[in-house]
Amino acid sequence: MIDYFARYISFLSFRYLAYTTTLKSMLSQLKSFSLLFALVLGPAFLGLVLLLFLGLGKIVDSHAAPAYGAKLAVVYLLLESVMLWAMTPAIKNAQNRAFQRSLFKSSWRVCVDCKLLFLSNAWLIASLLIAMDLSLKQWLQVPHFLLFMLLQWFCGVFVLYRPLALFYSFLISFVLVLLPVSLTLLQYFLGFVAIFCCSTLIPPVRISHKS
Amino acid sequence: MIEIKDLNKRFASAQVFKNYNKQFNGKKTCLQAANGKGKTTLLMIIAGLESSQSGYVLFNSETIESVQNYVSIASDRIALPDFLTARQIIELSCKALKKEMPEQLITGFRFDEHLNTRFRALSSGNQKKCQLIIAFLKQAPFLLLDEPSAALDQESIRFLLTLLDDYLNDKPNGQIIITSHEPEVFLQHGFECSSL
Repeated sequence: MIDYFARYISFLSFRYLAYTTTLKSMLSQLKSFSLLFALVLGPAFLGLVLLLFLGLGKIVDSHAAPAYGAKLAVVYLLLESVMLWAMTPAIKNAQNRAFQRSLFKSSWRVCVDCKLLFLSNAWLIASLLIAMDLSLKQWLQVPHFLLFMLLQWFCGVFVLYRPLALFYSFLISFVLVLLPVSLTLLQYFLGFVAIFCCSTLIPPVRISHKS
Repeated sequence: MIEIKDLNKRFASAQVFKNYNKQFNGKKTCLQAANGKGKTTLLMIIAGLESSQSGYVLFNSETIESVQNYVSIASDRIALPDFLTARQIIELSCKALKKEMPEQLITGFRFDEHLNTRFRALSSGNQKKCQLIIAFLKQAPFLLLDEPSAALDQESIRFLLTLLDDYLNDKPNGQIIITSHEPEVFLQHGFECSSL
């Protein structure tokens, strides 16, 4: 048991080192834009963080305009997915994936993928911070927020393993929020969860039929 | 015995294998084909490291669930973590496979002095040695080596051949498949040539 744990820890350490190395390399590629980022985004950084929480606040409390809250949630999830997609090579250690597969159990790979996914998902962490701050009474008023966090996790997992299903999920979710129907926030979010689950069942479309 | 059944593999618009069937009967086979015909891809599919559109691989007439436990592979297609030193990569592999540090393999390939060099800084010959050490460390019944002698010095090739000579001694149901554009030296050591 101890040996098993030690082997898992060595794999985890390797993956964490690969993760930080890849992120550093990605950041160094952005270095040439650093001055531009510092000038444009530097003063706005605090504002962006506040915007992140403001967006979450709107998603939590948009009972007066559920369709608006649902639209905001889909856009929020889309932005989150784009950020995670950019980080996928670091999260999965895509460059050495075959090496990992040749030596390590698939359950270990998935487990470490999920840990690094959580570590990378600042958006989900922000939601969890808000969730921890809610009282039971508040939770009863905003049960859809639990589904929103579930969707945030789904987005991350789909980005890693089912990108096509994520594409379908967003496509159908956008159709749902644009439909002229009157739904409560909870109904919208239950719909999104159903769409995300069902989209994994849609078979991939082959664009090229050349044989 | 490894058998490939109805394999279809496509990269974007390039069809590499179309309803491909192949049976490797010999204990030691040297697979031959021109560049780009899919030798490495086939080895990767056999090792379960690359997926195919359809088809399956049989090992001694059976499909295997966790192929990586039964197949050992060395190929340039498997990128080793180049931010680690060779020692760290070998130690990581030892831990994964529950093996001791393979001192005999390291000495045999004269790799000692390169252990503390980062993988990315190793010459292509030494990178190949590192791949081979990990492949032999595993001691899986099925051994797949992609161009094992490429970039190796003569002494290391001789050591590789002694390893290949003895590899199947304790693996009665095992098999070795290699690819090589210079098969002569392997043919002298009991390998049979087979076209893709």
